[in-house]
Amino acid sequence: MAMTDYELPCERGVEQVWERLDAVGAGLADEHELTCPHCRAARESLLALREATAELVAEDDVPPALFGRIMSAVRAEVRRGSMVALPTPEPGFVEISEQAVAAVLRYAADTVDGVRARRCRVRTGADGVVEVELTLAVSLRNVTGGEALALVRERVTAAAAARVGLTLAKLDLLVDDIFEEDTAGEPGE
Amino acid sequence: MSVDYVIADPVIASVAARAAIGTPGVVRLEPGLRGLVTAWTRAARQRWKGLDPAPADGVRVRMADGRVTVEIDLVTAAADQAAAVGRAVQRAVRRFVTEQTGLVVDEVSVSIMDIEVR
Amino acid sequence: MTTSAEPGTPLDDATLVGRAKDGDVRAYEQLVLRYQGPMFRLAVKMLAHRGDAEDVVQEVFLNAWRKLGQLGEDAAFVGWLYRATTNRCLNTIRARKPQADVDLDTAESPRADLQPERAAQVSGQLSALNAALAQLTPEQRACWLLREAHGRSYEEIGEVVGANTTAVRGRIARARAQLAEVMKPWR
Repeated sequence: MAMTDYELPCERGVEQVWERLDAVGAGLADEHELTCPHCRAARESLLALREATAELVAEDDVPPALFGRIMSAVRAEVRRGSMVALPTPEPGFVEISEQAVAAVLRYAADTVDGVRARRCRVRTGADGVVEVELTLAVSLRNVTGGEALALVRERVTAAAAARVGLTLAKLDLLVDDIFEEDTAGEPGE
Repeated sequence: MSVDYVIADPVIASVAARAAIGTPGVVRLEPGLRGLVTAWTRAARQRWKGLDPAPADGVRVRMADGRVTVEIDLVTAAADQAAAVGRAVQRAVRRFVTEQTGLVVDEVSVSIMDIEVR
Repeated sequence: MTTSAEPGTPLDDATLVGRAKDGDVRAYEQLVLRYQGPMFRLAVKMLAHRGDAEDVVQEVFLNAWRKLGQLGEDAAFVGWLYRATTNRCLNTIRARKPQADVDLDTAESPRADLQPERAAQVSGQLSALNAALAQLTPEQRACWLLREAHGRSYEEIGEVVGANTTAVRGRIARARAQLAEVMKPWR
């Protein structure tokens, strides 16, 4: 009995047997399924396949060096172009990457209950003024109240000064999403 | 533009690197370009041609007419204010290079690539 | 910078991708940690070679970093990764065999350098399955792995391999029948 035809001699299909595996296992087999030797043989092979598949899924751990290789390549791509000037009386300049500043400001916004920072754009204007646009997701209970946003503004401005050494000329807060408080944020949502 | 070599650039670079790493608030030098020459623009490559060690170590030194300029890429600690650390590195590098090599440092420029919680 | 205000709460893909788009390397690290396992396991089953699989996964994540701006919906990141990984694997396989597809009826012994580099076989059943997988066509293997080992939907698989869901179901059915045939001794 060759299963590669994927129709068994009894004219039932292998896929059909596959789909019925759990039902039959739970005692819900029909007359044919109970008596047909082809179906039984197919069932046993498919059960073995399912078992082997579970082993396969658990196989192959990631080589430990892979993560480092990936992140080295990624870090090498971080462009120097987007830098923000910091004040200094010394000859030469001190600058900081926009993404480092953005991380500091997002972190500060995250400390407010019911707020999750999403994007943070840092712009240096013509005369060196720094303007920030911070995009946020807020929890349901914060949707109507402005208190959380006021707190975000306060903490972000403070962090810019204390952690970076920057005075923000402008800080725009943009709420573009809402989340439910209880959800921990499962991957893939 | 004439170029003088008295003390080799790698020596200055390593002195500068030591001063930077020893400054409080500096976590590490950040070899952000990792020797990927393609990441440099043509203009930058022209400017640095033949004058500096590989940028892979996060320190670039340029010497012309006996004067020294240093550029450093690094990562600072979250506990310290980035601008203050940057200024401290500028001062430390300028002082240490002069102490160790006798050369006058024109400019020290610091690029903070990241801030790290440590 | 730590990006989570509540320590231990993993951030959702959309949030991490949004930040990574801004250049937040640490957010991207979280995504790599989250998905390098599944991508590597898919690649190594497709290519039967750990070294090749590593190269594919590294390229996928580096390219994803570069192309983040082109990703429409941030939550679609993982589907994007599966698509990229599968396609790179298929291209790698095609590059190995410049001539037409191997006739499945001829027993082709795998190239010596493509044997999986594993010290010991875990079980006869598993090694039989691995050997049987290598005998499927690359497209069948991809469809079956994406469905059975990675739980992707038929629609998604169709988008990955460029076929409609009927064709996908057909490939998976055929693969399943062929694999089950090999499992017969382990009944």
